[in-house]
Amino acid sequence: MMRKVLLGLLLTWLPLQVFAWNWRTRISLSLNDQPLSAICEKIEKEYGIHFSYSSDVVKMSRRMSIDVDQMPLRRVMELLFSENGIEFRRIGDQLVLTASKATTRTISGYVEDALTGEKLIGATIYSPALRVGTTSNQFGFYSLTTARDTLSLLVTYTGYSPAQIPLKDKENRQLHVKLGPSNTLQEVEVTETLPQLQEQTQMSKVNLSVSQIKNMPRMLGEADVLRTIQAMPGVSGGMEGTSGIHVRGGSPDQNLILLDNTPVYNSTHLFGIFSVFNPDIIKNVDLYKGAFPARYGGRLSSVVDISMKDGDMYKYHGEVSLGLLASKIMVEGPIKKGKTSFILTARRTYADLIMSDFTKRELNLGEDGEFFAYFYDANIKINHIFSPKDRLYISAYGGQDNMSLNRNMTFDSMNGTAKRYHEEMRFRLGWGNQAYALRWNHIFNPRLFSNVTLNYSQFYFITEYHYKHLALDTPAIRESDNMFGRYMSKVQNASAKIDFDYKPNPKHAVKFGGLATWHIFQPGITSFNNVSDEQELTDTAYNNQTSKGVELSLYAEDDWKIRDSVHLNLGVHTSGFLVNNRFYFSVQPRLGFRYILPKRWALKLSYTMMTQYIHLLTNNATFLATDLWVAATDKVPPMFSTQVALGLAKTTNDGKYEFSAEGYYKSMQNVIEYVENLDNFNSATSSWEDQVIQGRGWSYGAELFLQKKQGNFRGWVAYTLAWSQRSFPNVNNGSIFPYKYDRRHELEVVLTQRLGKKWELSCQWQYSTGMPLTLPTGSYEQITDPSPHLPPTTNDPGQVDLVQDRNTLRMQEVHRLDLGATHTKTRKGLTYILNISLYNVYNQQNPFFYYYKRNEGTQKRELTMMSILPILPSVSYALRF
Amino acid sequence: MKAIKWHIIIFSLLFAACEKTVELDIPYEGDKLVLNSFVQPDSVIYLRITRSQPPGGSEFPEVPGAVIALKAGTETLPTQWSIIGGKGYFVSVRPAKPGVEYNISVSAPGLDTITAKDTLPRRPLLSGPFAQGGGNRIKFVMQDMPGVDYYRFRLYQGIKNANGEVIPSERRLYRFDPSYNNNFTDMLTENYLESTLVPDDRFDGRAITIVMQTKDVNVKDNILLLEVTGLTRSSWLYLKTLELQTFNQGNLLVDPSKVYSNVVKGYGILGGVNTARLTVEVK
Repeated sequence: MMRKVLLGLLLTWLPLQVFAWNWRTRISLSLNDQPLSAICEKIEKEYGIHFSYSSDVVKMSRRMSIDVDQMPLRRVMELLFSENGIEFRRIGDQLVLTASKATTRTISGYVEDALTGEKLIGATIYSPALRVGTTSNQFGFYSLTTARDTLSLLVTYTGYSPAQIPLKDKENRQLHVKLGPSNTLQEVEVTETLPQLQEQTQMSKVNLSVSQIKNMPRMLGEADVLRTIQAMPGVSGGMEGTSGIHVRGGSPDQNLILLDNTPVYNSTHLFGIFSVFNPDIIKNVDLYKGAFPARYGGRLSSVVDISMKDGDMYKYHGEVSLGLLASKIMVEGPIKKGKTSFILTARRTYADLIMSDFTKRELNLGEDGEFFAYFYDANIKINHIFSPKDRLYISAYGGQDNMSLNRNMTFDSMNGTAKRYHEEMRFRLGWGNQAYALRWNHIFNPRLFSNVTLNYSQFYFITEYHYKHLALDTPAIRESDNMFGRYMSKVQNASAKIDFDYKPNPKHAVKFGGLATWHIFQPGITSFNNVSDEQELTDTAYNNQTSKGVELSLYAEDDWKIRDSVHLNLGVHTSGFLVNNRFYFSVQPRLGFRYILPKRWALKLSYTMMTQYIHLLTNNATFLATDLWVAATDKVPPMFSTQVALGLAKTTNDGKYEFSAEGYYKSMQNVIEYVENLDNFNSATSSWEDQVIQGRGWSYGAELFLQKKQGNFRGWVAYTLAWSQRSFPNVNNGSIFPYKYDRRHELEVVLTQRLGKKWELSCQWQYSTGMPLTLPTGSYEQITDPSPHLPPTTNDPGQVDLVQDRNTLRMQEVHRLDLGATHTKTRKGLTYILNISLYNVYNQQNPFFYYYKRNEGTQKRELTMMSILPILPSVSYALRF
Repeated sequence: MKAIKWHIIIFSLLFAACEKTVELDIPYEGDKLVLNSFVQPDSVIYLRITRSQPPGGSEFPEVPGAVIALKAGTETLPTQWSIIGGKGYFVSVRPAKPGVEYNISVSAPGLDTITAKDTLPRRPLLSGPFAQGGGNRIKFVMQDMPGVDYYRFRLYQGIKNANGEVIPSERRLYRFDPSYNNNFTDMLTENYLESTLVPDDRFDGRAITIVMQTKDVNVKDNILLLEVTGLTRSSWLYLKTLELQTFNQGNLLVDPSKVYSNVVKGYGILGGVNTARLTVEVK
């Protein structure tokens, strides 16, 4: 036994004595910015460790700094060589250095339309042999780290011919992929495709293509992105005919609507009937109903992320269209071929122009009078490629709803009595958004992509009058009035944002970044000037106050492939809001989990928290441009929500069908409602906090979605079962009551069928449970005078309607069928597109409003249901060149 | 012209409201006592006692057998039943006087006993009336006092009674300066008002000159009677919320709004008012 021990000690001790060093030898070294060769020489000199390498093969010129104290030799070697592509091993008493043989490489670049240069969002880049892939991001950029010996990549995108890209060498490289549109009836639209649902950890997300939006049956000839979103599961429309969206029981102010990364505060024209987004400028729309990625924040219930087209890099194109409601124009093309492109769209309603003479006559505006009532919007985007690694995008949106009326007229009588006077009156009512964005993409290396955004957005509402009255029978009658009044509200923000996409290895896809936003709130400034008989009676402004706030946020998320069947998305969004010397802070975890079940079904789970620092003051049944944005205060703190969702999803192997089923539960804190018994909000004066109350909200339900995405026959069926509730201390005695857009069942069926090469037919049928309703529950006599002996009112004295609990009743159910047909013909380079739509085909009288109306026959007040939007045909015609 | 017709047809279709009578099972909690009275100093108090009705009601049964207990401060004010203009009132036997709180309790068989209370506000200070024959304006000065005040403005055609006093004979319609009532659209439309409710938060403690534009041309030597009523907060809330409910009747874009009531276990209002009148002789 003793002999064996001695032998072992000898064998161990001898090499140590012979070679003088081992991997545990302690090294202390401090060198600053030295080439690797110099560092090795130093180690060799001080510790007698000999390095052997070929300077032709091993790059030892890389400069490094090192500062270690008593660190084992192996750790020091790893520190020096691992990140520099150098392998080390011991042979005898020498450390032999060789160039490491990488087992992976990274292919990165952009995917774009071969004809127009338009970047394609969500294209799939896939290695069929290795079954690994990725998708292009919002800017068309992709990065795929795959096996070094990958021979080819398959790049696919719906509406485009797939491309098989051979990879000749085995190095990291930048590879820009150009896809050619497939030869179909469809206009060459940039349309979406996403990897199969089971390949995404993301859930509660819907992607919309422009062709989906444009092929839906139209109302008044206008395709509408928000109306298409309404047809998705988990999304309710507001009142009949409007394009407001209520996502999983949230209110419209809880939707973050982004246009090229810039928030748009008011997303509708014409009191909510049409959205402000012209479909001709839209490239891609993503709707997040839950499972919010960490990069989004600031709203509770949804994110609608709309990307604008970049414009054709190679050829000029245009489109002119004429609908019943609006005319549109779109022009795009290169400013410098292959380098710089632009796209410009504009639309305006024109009914006021056609009916100008009629309205002037009816409204007694005089010969010089004017009447305008219209909305317009315009978008422009310029896209410039500085280098293969740098691109710049400038985009701008401006839109307005406007009604103006000018009268300039001399009268000979007033109300039937002779009186000469001159009246000049100008009245204006308008609101609108402006949004500007400057974005710079930079590729640091094949694995790291960045985007810097500077943007500005504002929404304003304004109404004003100028009124002049001058009696002409002077000096007998001296009367002159000169009055001016204006009411204005505005909300603005300016942001600086940086986002990074980093793909360190095939198992991780990391996104991180930060955002700083400056908010400015002017919730209702009123000013007046009144000069009567040359005496100034009023010259003042009320609530002329501006509050400012700064919102800062940082985020990071990692899409982590733990195993082939297990994926985790770990993210966090932190934000702080500084306003009026108060600071609010929140940490919002964002978690996603995906597990692949047998037969390639994906089980998904998500947990997200969201915080919203701004409130919308409204006391309407619907949301209007007059509503006021205000910042959170101590008394009315920020809103926050928590949402969990569980779902199953699968895309069939042939890619034709998608199916998803999700259940969700969302709770909301500090949602607000108006207080009873108070006047409409005219402006958010310093007492606005006393006019609202805070409460809680809950929504939960299930959503089923089946979609056919390929072939001549396409469409989807969406079913939603939902509950949405609110509770406020002073409303309905503090008990839980249904949210005003709570709908128990909603079913949407959207189908499109191509017929030959020229026709495409579409139909949409929707059904939903009636919305909650508040109606008087009694009535009683009213009083206005202290004495019955005073002269009676000239109006109907009426009665008081007893209004008690909110939303305790329900309207009747709603259902409607819409049809559309699109005919496309191309001749001599021109494409002619005719769309005919029929809204509410079977003329269903859906409830819009209930009220008590006096029946002149019986002299009794009867509960009356009002319906709008009967059967409504429309035609639009477009010419594309 | 064809295009105009086509557009008119389409927009008529779009906004053409189709209405039909429907029936919904609306819960009704049963009849309750309704008390309506504005208490004016130096005037007898007229109390109107009726029953509430199911939703949609427009005729409200009187309760002549109600038992009234009305107090001015600690002093009981007896009332007697009178029919005036076809309607029944409980009328106090003595006029109301300022400086005390008015309390009332009303009971009737089969109905909950109701109670209410209020005080009387201060009287508005008016001066400087001016109106011109052939013109369509009246001008006057109102001195507001420091503190919260609520006002109601009305305009009457005045006539002289047998005692030579000017009394209101019929209501006149007018437009009010939007800088006080915020009604921007009054300037746009031919919208003339019968009454205007204005709080003093824009002119607290100041004297203001107010110009009203009348709907009809003023006739020389006619007499107009300007009425400005000071309101207590209860009276203000009742009249303002009533105005809001009336204004929003049939408005598609707003939810039905509640009307304020200070009557406990019933509905209606017991509110203090204080009316000042200014005779305006058209020159």
